[in-house]
Amino acid sequence: MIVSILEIAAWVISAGLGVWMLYDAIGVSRKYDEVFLTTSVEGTDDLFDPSATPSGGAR
Amino acid sequence: MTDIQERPGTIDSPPVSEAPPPDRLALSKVLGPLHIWGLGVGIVLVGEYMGWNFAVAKGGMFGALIALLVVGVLYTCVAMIDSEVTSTVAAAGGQYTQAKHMIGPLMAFNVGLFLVLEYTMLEAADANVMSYLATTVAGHLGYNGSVNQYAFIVLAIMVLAFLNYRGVLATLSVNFVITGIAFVAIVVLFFGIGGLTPGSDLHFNGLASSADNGLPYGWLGAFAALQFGMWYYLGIEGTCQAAEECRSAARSIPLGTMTGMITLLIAAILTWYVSAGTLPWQYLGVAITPLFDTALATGTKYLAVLLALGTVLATLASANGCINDASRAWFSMGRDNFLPTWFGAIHPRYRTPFRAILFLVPLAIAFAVLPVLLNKPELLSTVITFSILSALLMYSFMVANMFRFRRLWPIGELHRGYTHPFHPLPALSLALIAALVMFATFLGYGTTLLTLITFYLLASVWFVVFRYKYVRRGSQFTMPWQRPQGY
Repeated sequence: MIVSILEIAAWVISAGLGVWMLYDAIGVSRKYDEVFLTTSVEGTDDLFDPSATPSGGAR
Repeated sequence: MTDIQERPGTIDSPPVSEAPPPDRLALSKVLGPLHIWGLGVGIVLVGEYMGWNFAVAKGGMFGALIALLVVGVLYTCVAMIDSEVTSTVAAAGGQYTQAKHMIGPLMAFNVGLFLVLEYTMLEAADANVMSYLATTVAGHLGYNGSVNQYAFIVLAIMVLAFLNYRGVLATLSVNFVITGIAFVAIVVLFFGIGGLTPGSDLHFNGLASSADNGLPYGWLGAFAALQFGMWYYLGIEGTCQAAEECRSAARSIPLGTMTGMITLLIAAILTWYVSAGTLPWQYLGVAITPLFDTALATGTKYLAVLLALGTVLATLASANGCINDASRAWFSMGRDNFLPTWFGAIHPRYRTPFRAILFLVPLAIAFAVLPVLLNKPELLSTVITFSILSALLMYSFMVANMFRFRRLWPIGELHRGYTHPFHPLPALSLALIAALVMFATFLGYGTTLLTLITFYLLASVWFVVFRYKYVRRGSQFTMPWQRPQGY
């Protein structure tokens, strides 16, 4: 009995989360311009601070 | 094939370290070394709880120990190389991005696929194991009926996908905590079982007295065990995927990756030690949950409960980290137009690659339920072998990558967060051991290996014929790097 309830709960939670994510993703895609959503460029880091001295440990 | 000339901002351009302008989305830079440790160790630690022991079936206790040490050298090399390159190439996509910069688009496309397949297959296997654990727990609680495994497979993947969707900081903070508990459980088992005083509960007489116990199939068995030695460490290279989300990748990636590797070496040795001293090799070689079984064999209730908890948490942490890594690799390929740009979108509120996360969910569920659906549990090992072989192919790339990196940007030419010692020894060692493990895997799973290579060849043809024309060769390089040697 408990296992059956847990199984049903698992399906309900899974469906709820799936629907929520889909709903949110569709909402975001409709609300924002596609160009804006895809504006990211590959990362930069404070490693490239011009004042930083060349680094590197043992060679 | 790398078109350095077209990179915007690569020559004499000001370093870009400020936050992106408000009209441009970026992944959140919120992670530190502990998150990186949680990501790397989290993906791997499940291999200590289950899987490594198949090496015992192939090569006996000493075969598994040899595999632990040899493959440990392989992954130490992987961790060293990744720490150096990724502390410089601070971008999501990890090895994919490295391939893009160091070698060219076709290699990058393949490495990206290796990554996605490695982590998605591992995630599917984790979810499948979760459903098995649910069945086992129900059995221990006195339930004799059948448990619907589909429900728990789907639940595990959906909950973790939701966590990943909502933000990387919470995702990897959770991973750090549950991975920490799973690691501590192994240490507690070591002390609880009398690891410091072998002879009380641990018995190694059988190993020392006869080669039949330690190396039942001789050196050939030890060689065959290498492929399962991968389980001790498979996935530590996943730390690279989080580089773009670190507050300082130059610091966090080397620290998190190297401490993660040290943690895994300790966990692997403790795991082998307590299991080899407690369980007969014939049983250990086929056990599904060897560490839990070791705890059960002690007869100490708190150890059994702790290791059961550790098994569940390690499995969850692995699947969680895999979703994180597979989605970053897929997202990066979309961002560079190697795949439809649609996948390169970032959620404006949560700052996660939400479409990549969502897209990979059904794929993971499909591979996770396949062994159950077809009623062929042995398919699980095929799914895992897909993951292992994809990883091995990627390690082969890393050798060429390391040599290219040092040649194009010698030490002193480019800032590095970490510089690994003894180059080219780690790269050469990696090449040699990866080839050995690949051959050992070919002996056991030759058809799977050939199938996988055929798949990658066909995918490469698709990329060259249909996709490459969409790749914007200049705009995919935005690192503020100086011109490489020879260009």
